[in-house]
Amino acid sequence: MKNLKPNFSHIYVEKDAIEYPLAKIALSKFTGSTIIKVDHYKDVFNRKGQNFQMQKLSMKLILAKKREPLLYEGSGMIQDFDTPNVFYNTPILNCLYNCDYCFLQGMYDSGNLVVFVNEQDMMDAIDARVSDPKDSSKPTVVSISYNTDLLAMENILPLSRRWIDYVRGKKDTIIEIRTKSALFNAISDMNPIDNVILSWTLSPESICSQYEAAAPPLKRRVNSVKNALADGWKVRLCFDPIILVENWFEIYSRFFNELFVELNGNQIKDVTLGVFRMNKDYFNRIRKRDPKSDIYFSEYSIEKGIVAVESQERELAMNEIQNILTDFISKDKILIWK
Amino acid sequence: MIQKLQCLITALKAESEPFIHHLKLEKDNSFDFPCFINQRLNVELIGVGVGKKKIESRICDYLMSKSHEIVQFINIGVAGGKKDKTNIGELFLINEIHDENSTQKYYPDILIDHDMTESSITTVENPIHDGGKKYDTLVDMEAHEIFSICSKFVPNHNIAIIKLVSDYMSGHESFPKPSTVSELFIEKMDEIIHFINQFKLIDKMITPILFEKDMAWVKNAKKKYLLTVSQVDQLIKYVKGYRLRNNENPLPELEIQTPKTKKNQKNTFNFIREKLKT
Repeated sequence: MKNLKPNFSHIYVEKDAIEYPLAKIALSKFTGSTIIKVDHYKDVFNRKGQNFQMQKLSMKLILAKKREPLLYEGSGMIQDFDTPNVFYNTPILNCLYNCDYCFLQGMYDSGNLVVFVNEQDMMDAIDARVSDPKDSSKPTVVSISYNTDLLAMENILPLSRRWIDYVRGKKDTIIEIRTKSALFNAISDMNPIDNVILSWTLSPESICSQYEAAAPPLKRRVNSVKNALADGWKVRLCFDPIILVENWFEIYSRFFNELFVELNGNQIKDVTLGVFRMNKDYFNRIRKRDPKSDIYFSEYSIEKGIVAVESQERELAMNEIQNILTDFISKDKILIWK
Repeated sequence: MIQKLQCLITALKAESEPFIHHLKLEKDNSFDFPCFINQRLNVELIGVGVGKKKIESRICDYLMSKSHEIVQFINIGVAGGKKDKTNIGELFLINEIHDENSTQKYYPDILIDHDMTESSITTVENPIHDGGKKYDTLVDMEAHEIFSICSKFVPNHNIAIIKLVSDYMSGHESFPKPSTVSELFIEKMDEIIHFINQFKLIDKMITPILFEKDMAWVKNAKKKYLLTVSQVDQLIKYVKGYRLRNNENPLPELEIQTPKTKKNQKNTFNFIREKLKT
């Protein structure tokens, strides 16, 4: 917007974080930004009186050092990945994209981005956990892009690249980098490895433009997927959330039919499916702020603290979507949140 | 229509006078402290005196008399600057606020594009006369308290602190005369007014989901169909969903009878709800 400061016009940096290489890279990329040194990132990120959506109009960058916990148990909101050793971490808090259905707007008071610059500490925490797994016959899966879109930041900070380098040769550790970005080219010079899953969230174009307005359009995401597959990367497709808009069956049927003309389903590692769902507290917090999205003014049921499409309706929808998808991808590769 | 108001906060008469004159503000005698208003521009000014002691009571008294839903506070005042880092008459937008007696720091949200230099500031209890040796920032006697109080009432993005360097903290005799302070502000008036006008635009970026006519529709439905408080809460959510799905289309006409029984009333509410799902 014309009369607003550009994103990252201000960089708040923890005094303890300033000497880390990632902090130096960030500061070197934004030489025109105002730098403000802070004691702790929460002094800025957790301030009272912030307006998430207002801050999204002019996002600021906060560089900080992640303290314990450095690794979190996998969330019940995600699909079952056939291993109990599922974790996530938070190299970044918040996302460049700000999709309507995203839980981050209910999780955080701030729309600003926090980048934790001590990624080696987070990597060491994973190594420690992998050496003591819940089930030693299964690998440890870590989602490193759960509270952000890591690849979307790659032109600013080479985080995905560093995480891919970290996991190279670690057979018992798998990392998932989930994204809506079209920035595969930022890592396309790297050799693909089996224990990195590049996951793209894809939606029909009408859903992208209505609910994911700041993310790249579908076509550019699909191009990135095609390039990643052509280079031999393991790719997961995430049709999650499926938004049950009017005529959703026709919209998603056409979408899958067109998508799998472009992509070969046999090359896809797996797909995840799920309807819109969100922690009840986050949902209510967002709705109180009068979001400009009808998602927050539709009818849902509440099950175990989760706001979701009512169970019968979602099972029906998931079954129907699954039926369409099995024309393109084998059923055992479809992971569903029911 | 949401009423929006900008309130300038000053400490000294010499700070306020240039703005009273420029913005054609008129004294509001209903307050027992300096308060000046221009209803046409929706700009007002209150004087809080030097130091912290009267800030809370004056801002609270002021707000109690206002029915406006959105108030922006802009503190405009003088500050001491370091001689080797600042110039007399230089204008700063404050991005970090310290207090010499508190560990609490404030970070105003700076969303609006502006041409001022930014700086941090430290609020002190007593005037500094040693050149500000202890401080690496601007120094004043109000900003921290003003931010602390205003942030209890309005979001951070609706508070701005603008400071003009009046002296180098080198003793009473070096502090400029009131007329000189006013002249310094007059010199920077265009720049400050430009900022104030830009700052006003922030709240235009937040528009409510429902129009006035939507709220009138809800009010009418409540009265006609004897809706309970909880049903009205639910109805507002359905109306918001309808409005977001239907842009500016009018809400549906409800040609139904006023309910006569409790069961009938529930059915009526369900009927309205279904109508709004489209």
